Amino acid sequence: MAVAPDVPSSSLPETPAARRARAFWQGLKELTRNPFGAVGLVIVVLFFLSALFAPYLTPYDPYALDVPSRLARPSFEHLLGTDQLGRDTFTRVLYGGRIAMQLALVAVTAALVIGLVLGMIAGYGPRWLDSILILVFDTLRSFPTIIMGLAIVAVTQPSLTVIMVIFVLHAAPAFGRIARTQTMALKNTEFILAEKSLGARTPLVLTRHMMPNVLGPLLILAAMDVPVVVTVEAGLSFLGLGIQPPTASWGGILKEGYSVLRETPWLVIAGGMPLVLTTLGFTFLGEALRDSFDPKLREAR
Amino acid sequence: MTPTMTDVLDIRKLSVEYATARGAVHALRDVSLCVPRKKTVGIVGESGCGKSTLIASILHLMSRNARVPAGQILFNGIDTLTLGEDALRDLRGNKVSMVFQDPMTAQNPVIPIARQMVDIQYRERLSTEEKRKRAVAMLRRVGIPDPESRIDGYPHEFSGGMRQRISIAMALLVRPDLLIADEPTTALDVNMEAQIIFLLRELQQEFGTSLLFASHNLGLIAELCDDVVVMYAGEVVERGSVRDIFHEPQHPYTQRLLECDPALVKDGRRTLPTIPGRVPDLRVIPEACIFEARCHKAFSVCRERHPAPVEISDTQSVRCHLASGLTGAPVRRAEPRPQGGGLRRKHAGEPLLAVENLRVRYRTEGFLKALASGNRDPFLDGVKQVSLMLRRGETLGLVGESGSGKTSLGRAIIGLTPCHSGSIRFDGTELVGLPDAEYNLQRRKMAMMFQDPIASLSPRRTARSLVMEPFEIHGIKLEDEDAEAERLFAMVGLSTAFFNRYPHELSGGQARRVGAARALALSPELIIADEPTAGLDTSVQGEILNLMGELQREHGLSYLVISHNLPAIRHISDRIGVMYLGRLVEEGPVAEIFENPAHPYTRALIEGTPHPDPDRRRTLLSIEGEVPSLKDRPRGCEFHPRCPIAEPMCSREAPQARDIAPAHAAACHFPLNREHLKQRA
Amino acid sequence: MLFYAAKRIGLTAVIVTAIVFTLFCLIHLIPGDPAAVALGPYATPEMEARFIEKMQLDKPVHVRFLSFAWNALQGNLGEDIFSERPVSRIVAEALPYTIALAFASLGWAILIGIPLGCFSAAHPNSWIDRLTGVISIATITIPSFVVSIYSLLIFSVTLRWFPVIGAGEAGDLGDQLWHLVLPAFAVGLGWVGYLARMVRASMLEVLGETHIRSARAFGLPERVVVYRYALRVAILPTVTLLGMGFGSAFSGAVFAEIIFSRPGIGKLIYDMVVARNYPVVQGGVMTAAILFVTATLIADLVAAALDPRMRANL
Repeated sequence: MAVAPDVPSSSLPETPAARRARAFWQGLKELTRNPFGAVGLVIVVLFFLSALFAPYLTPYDPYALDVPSRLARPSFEHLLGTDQLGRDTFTRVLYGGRIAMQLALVAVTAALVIGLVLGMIAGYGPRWLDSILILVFDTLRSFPTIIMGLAIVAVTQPSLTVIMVIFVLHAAPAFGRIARTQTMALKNTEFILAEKSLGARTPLVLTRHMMPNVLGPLLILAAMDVPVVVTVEAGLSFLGLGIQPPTASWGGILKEGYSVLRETPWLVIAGGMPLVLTTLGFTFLGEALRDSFDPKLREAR
Repeated sequence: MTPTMTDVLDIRKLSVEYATARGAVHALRDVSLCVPRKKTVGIVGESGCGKSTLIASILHLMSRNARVPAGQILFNGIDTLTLGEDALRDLRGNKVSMVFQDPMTAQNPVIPIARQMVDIQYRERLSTEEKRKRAVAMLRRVGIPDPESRIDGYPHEFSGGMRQRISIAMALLVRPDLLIADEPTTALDVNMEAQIIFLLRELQQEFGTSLLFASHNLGLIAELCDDVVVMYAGEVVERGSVRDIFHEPQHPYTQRLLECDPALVKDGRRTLPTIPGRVPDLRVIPEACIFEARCHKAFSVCRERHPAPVEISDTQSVRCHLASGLTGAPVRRAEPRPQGGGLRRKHAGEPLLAVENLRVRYRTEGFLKALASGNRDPFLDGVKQVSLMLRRGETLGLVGESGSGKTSLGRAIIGLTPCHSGSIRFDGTELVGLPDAEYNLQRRKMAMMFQDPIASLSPRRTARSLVMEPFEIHGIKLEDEDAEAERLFAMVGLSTAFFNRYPHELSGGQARRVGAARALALSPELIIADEPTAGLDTSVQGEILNLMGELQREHGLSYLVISHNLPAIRHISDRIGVMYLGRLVEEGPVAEIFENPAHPYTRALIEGTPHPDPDRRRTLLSIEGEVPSLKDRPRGCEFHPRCPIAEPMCSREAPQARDIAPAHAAACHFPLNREHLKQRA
Repeated sequence: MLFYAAKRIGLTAVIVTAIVFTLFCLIHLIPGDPAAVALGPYATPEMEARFIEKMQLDKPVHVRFLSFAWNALQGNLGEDIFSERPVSRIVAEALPYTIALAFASLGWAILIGIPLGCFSAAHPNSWIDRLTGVISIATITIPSFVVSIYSLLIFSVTLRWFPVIGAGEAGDLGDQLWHLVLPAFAVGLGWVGYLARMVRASMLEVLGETHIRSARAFGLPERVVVYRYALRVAILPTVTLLGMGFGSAFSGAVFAEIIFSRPGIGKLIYDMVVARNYPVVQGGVMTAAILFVTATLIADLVAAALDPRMRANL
């Protein structure tokens, strides 16, 4: 039981900004104390760095054909070998990471924002609006992800944007559900009642007092959703319905590798490993975040 | 109190630590106590004193990070600390059984009661049929109506009081040598509490079981126990027979604790005694006496040496230097005794708030469900036809058990709950049906203090921004915000060092002060305080109530104080209103209500409070049964099914409120002690 | 319970309607010429004319929707634009393969995952618990199609333990089961980890609850406390989750069926997407979604029936 002393230890009151900064570094320290959290953080940082600096990490052009050296085994020259058109696989893996990063940033943020707004409206607004939004969420959730993806691709042309739309349709309802539950729980808490008893108007209550408390769990879910969007991309690209060649993507590499599986296993390994590592990294990070933010779960560990 | 072989439980010099990320917490240090056969021993202490750790350690039911560096726990002469898991399991639910604090979670929610009660008899060589019969008999014994059929129910089908009875039945079903009860009534209303205490007392005698009873409530300890152990911050500071402790307390902590009990505070004072300071952090144990920092009798030795227990009679021992005859110059002057804050004033102020025939309704079932179940009226009345008046500068205390509608009434007045019908006139303005914008203008003149001090502050805002927020909400520009913030903080006794604290970094008392500063920011005239003392230890309850009194004197505030704690708010109220099932059943000046209650329910509430004096134990229960559900209100007088003096007409006709004495009204056909008013049917 | 069930079933009916509506919109309300979109660039004018007639593209939108919904309600999902076979029959032929795969995958995941989770929770921080933790995260995060490819690579191509493609000889149950092993392994693997983690987490939560402390205080044997008292409570959220598992198995089945060439509904939808055979895609997707919703419904009802608190809530 932490008993707050009557007078804070330092005589000068810290500014809120300084306190937040300190809290951030403490949180980071806490996070890295958990070995999984540390591993996750390292992988996630590597993921972003390698995607950002891909052109500087490889001497090759991801599209340069070199048919004579096709399907080469890994060597110092080609770290992960080459594909059937002789392109350097390592380079293509790096450039595939850029697609994954765009998806991770744009699609997850979009799903988060849409889910947050709709979920808070559902949780705070009138009942009929809640019912409609819940129906929309539930309907969207009732299509198995990839099958919904197939249905959408069927009527459009495969592209990065379509993958993002598919992911948002799949993920926004989940964010919305959580935001809604959280909002409804908060709606009757004493501090929200206290704000209302002071005469605070709804926009102020929602933005200043509800949103910061709703956002926390959503951010954790966002970290956990990065693997999902990366998987959706890889899956659709693997089926040839995602990122179209010659653009490099992990799913595309897997697809090419699958077609030459009997000749060389290196391509599927090269395409699959970054996918597995990224999903592992973000999941570890998300789990560690959840553990260090949710004291109830922390105790259970 | 020398231990003998007749003791069921003998704990010797026990220490327990918890390993935490920030160092070991020394939760128990050098604790000794013994429970003689067929006796009841009480452990009393405020939150954080180590009661629960002590109880958990007896059967090794502590959390995983606990360690026992020293001590012995002798049960029937065998040290349980040396026992393996199997031997311990042999004791649990066999020789020792337990009743826990929260009855709502004490039983498995998805297994029928019958199955759970049969399962715990797994050691008996009986057929399931016989085990079930024994269970039914025990349920009947603890007062479960119709046990043969109800035993097949699930826990959620029973009320809190009934579930606690079931817990007791299960605990006694195994015929233990020792029954341990950890705050068994804390989650219950006063009348239910009295019923459970009576039941425990009866059964303890009937079964000849030893009882170890932990509570923070001195009255219950006095009522139930033979011997008492007083704990503070992980130590036993005093132990003795119940008369030793309550009549001749030796340790300054025991003395102050008794002084603080609102039931012992003399009437007519408007301030309550407190123990300044708070329980120390148990990570670093000082060389000094653990109570030194808060002790009004401390002298120099107390800072230097940790006192050892001193036996001052056969039965009593005290851990205090004073008892060993050491004296010295006091290190701090006894802080000024709380002065009587002036006698009660005569109130002739004009009415500030007048509520008339107010009705608040809640929907109980959704539209579709009501339609499906044929419920034509899926509503219940949280507040039913309540009329009351509050004058300027006055304090009205509103009391009642849970479900009495007192919180709904408070929320309806400040506009958090819509009113169904009736009228609320505040400062000359009718509030019912007022548009939001105009309601907000009135809200500047009233404020609410909430029950849970920390949870009622927005968790991601600093104390200063919370206190200043009312100005922002109402668009009031201040010339000097810092000065205003300082003024408000000073008003509630907080320094500016608290400006940047977040709610979770405040203690309960501090958070309550921040809440008070916020409520006072716009200089309101009316403050509605919802359970201002809930969850606070007796020694700090006074702090908040005294602060409220001070602020009232300085600013001429009017209070509507909502509480289930009748003795505590008695001292700050001018008038008391008693609510039952959403109705105001009695209302009058505080002295009248206490000395001359007219409604049998009011009397039951007053008598429901146990007296911290072993010579004033209650022998009769004032009322039986429990508060009915709002869903099926009894016909006629709603109290008649529980009323000890009900007559046939009470079940037919609902009584109207009428004046019993000047300014004292009650809704009862047969008001107590008022022969001239009683009507014969 | 009756009311809950009725409400839940009613809600499912509304969702099914919404699903039908969504799929209707997908093809009928997209910008451009639906016939061109559905038939692809190689369609002849005659095909287009027949398509317009068959899909009633010349009628107003609400008429088309009502007749579409009415037909769907009767199990008439339209016709394959190329072979002109009824879509419902095509889907019905593929469905058993997918359902068998879904049940097999979830089945082995339940058999392994739930006991593993229980054991982990009963022995927290033991080596088995830690190992389970790592393995479950790994299996959850590795995409099931990567598992499919790798297990095909390892067990079929390299080790030659299992057949590479197909669903086995019709009528030969043994052969069919043999062909089911790898796909079911790949689809269910993630769920082993997922279930283990879910069960562990909810078990740990329940084991910390007061009623478990009371059960222990009565000296009930640990086996009874964990597997009878705690598991009964902890299993409830997992049951609800299994409904979701069915949907995720459908997603996983798309890849497993393509990679292992199983003629299930996932492969069907994929092939028809590539072929732009829109009515079959529509029928397949609708069937998958409705099955998924039904599975969630059943799971919710079972969970409610297992929980006396819900059961009493008439």
